[in-house]
Amino acid sequence: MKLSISQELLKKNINIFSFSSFTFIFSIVIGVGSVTGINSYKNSLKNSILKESKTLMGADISFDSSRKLTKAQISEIHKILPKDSNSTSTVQFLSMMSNENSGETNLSMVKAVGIGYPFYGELKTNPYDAYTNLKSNEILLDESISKNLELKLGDKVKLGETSFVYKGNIIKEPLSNMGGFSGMAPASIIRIDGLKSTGLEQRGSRIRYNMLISLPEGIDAQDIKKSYFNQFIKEDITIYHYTEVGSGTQKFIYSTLDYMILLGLSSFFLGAISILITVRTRLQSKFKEIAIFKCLGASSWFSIKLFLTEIMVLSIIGSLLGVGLGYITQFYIPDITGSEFLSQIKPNLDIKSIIWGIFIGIFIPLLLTLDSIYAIFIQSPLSAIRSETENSLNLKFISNKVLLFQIVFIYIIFFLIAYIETTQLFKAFLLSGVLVFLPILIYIFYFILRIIGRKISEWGILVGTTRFIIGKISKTGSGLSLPIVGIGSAISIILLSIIVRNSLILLGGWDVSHQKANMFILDIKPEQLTYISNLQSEYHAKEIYTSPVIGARLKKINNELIKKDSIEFESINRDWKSTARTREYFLSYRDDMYDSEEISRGKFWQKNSKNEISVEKDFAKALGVNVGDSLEFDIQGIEVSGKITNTREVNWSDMKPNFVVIFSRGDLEYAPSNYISSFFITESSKRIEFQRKVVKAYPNITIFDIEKTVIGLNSIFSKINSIINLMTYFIFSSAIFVLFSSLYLQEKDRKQETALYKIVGAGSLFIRKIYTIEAFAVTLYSFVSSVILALIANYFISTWILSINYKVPFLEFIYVFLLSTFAILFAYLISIQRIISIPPKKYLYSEQ
Amino acid sequence: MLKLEKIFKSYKTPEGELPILFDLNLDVNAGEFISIMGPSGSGKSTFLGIAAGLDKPDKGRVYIDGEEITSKQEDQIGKIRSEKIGFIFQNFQLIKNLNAIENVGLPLLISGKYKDKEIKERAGELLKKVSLEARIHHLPSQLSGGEEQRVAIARAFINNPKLLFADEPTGNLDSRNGDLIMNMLLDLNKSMGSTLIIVTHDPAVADYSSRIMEMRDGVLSEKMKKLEIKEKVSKPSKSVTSKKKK
Repeated sequence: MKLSISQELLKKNINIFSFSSFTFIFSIVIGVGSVTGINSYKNSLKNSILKESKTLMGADISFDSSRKLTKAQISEIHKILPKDSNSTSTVQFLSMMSNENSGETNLSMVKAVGIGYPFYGELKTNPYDAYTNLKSNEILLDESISKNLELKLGDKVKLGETSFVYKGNIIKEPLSNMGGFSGMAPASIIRIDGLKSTGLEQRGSRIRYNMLISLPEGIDAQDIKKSYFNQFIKEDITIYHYTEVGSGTQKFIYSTLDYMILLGLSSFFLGAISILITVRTRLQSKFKEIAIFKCLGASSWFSIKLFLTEIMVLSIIGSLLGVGLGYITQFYIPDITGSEFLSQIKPNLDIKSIIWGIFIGIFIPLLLTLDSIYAIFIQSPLSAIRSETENSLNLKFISNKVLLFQIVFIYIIFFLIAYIETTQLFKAFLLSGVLVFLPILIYIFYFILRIIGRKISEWGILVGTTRFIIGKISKTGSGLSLPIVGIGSAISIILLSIIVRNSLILLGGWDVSHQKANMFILDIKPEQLTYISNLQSEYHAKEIYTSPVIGARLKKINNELIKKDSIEFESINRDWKSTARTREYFLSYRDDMYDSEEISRGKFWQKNSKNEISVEKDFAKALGVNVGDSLEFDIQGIEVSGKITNTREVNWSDMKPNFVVIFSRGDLEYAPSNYISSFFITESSKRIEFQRKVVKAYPNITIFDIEKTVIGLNSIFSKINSIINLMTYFIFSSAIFVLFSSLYLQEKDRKQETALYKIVGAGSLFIRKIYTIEAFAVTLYSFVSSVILALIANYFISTWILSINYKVPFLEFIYVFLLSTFAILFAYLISIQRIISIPPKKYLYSEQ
Repeated sequence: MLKLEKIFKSYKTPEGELPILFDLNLDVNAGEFISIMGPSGSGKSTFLGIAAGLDKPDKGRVYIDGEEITSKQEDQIGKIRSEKIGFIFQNFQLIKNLNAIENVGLPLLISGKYKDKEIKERAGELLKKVSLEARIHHLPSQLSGGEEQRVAIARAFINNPKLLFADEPTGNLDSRNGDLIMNMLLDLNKSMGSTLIIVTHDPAVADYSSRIMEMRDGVLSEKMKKLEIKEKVSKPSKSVTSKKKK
């Protein structure tokens, strides 16, 4: 088919195998791929959670308390429920159980269930009718427990003070909502009327009482929650909607997804910088061509149409490939729930994600051509006879005005993207602001560093070639602004992602690098202490820390009553900060600080001090208290108060019995308490022996072998790590494209410069030297700017979006610096290698 | 100072080999001022590139200051260029983000033999010689065409070259600036004793030189100057001065 002249022109211009087209296409591919991949995965995960939620809870609504519901409370609940509602009860707690014959022990999340449970979903067992016919002296176990305890059907299992008959295995059952460590324990089920005989139902055993309700058709569970939440919270009963089940885990998942969205957007944003550079390079190479068209009578629209069509074709190719990459990416995102409860997240691309990906993959590049289109409009035909330098200077002047408009428009687009992803205005504002203003701030820092560089050069602090290069690149018009802004933005985002990764790990409580204890004992009664202590000596346990634990509720701050209805309505937002005033506390008392603790304000008490309080520093902030304030706690109806004499920094990852609030000796010593102990025993076989002896002597005691838990934790840690590494690869790839497109933009100037250096006598060694110094300088300028910005951005994101504490891993920053230096140097040397081999005469005379 | 012996050079084109230089020979003594003239496409630029060591001939040898350069590696030739050769281009070819004094000092920096202070002093002196002492910190974009060419001249002379090549040095300048440049070159040629070889279209520029060569069909031949012809006709025994001032 014969093409028209325009089509011929277009065909020649769109050479997809040229470096510039390749960079353009793949910048879009990476950006679209990361956004659509994460978007689809997130949608699937969210839909899955919602779909499974009712079956996870097994009810529409749950009334949840750490104390047994009184008859009055139960009656009150029934009063507010609509007619034809059904209710049942469950009690959940952690406990050790053992094979009566062999003495083998295992930790389990025990669930005592009432008749009718579960209202939704199913409790699948093997044999299939084991649950239907379960009697009060019978027990169902997770398969892992029956294997560990070497049980056969009909064998006896000791739970507390009673033996249960092993009736069958649990194949599938609704989720428990205790989360954290507890979530790791395999499940077991007994009838609620079999609970009393175990003797395990006592405060301090982290027991949860649930009254589960199924509502009649047409009744919205959210309405019940909204209407009665505040009423019941005053009685320490929390109402949960079915969508809030596993809220601790959900919060972690959604925080991780928010973070992944940020990384996906960052990757796209870097791609956009690369696209901007490539679009400008393409336009610069067409200046004379466009001017000549105008000299021959073509209108501006003729050239604009050609240019836009070119961009559009490349964008469509990039977007389609990007959507494909997004699909493939999901295969590499592990199922981060690590849970069998949620249906497996299968890779997919919903229509919404595809349309979205293609839209941003085409629309954003077109948006980025605005200043180029304007430049084409105003280009004079005289440019056909002007020099390249004159033309490029004019473009710079004109497009800066339009660039400002573009920045605003791009901010709006990214804001919309962030809002659609996060559904929260403030988060969207902050995320898009970080992305769009990041390069601007990098530029400002670079500007400052350039002034410093110029001064250093002028003052003669550096000498010879180094001084020459630093002086050169510190001048305006060095052509390095875009590469430094692009690379600086990329490094900034990578550093930010490293900080947030470490912080998310801390959120999950999985920073095991400082772990010392590998055994934890809970629920030790006072009279059992001596036995435990003797056993620890017998087994040469090390790093022993034993602390009393007293359950309490905060009643007053500075003699003012706490308002219970100030508790956060949505459980997913109910983090430790928002529940600081209304949560249940586990208090303790001791004489000394741990080595791992540090006083942040005030002074720690002396041994003879009475009723002094130390509060963890972040907790004190959330609670709104400081040194000198008084706190009053309700401990089973008795008030115990004290004065805050210091706040302290706690290292939560060191696996000691850590508490947010501790007392000095005083009134608290007389409160009813259990004990908790952590210690270290080297050999696995000794730990097992220790465990067996304790459970045999005192079945109420819960004992964790941390080594086993760490294996489970490490697998989740490695999943999180692999997600973040995956996203970091996207960002790093985008950054590489920014770097190469920047070097490509400068290639013409670089060729000229290199030819001149050669003509005035420079050898290839000198030329490599000056570009090596330039590469180091670019790295340094980029890195210094990006470190400062990453730290600032991290503060806002960790505090206001993810609501997590953060920890800055400076050692990893050094690795990033070294890696960046290597990558930039490598890119420079590849670029130079192509140029250095061109004979100077060839370049010079082609210019003339 | 410069000797070209049986130089042949051709370029490959889709239609076959295109000969540019054909058995070219040239001998230039130290201190001479030579112009090379010729029509467009006659091979002047090719000749200049080969003579300056920027390009290699297909056959033949080039000697600079008695040293044969044709068989040397690029880096070795670069060293010779930095020590013995200066270059002035038609379109100035200054590095755009170096100021005047930095552009001028560049060859000394490259040589690695001079301290920063010395480089600065020498560059400053040369810029003073070309009447640009007030513009030493200006970037090329802040200079006029004539000023840029003067910076280029200063750069070309900073390493006291024994041999200086100029390719249409006044091609982008008006006649006033062109005269200024040529007189400057002449002064520097005499005061520093450099051998000067200029490629030009302009007979007025060529007239500044003591010897004019014509490039035609890849071959160089001696061309008599106008004034020499006139004088030969009127007074055949007298020598002709080569200087012309306007």
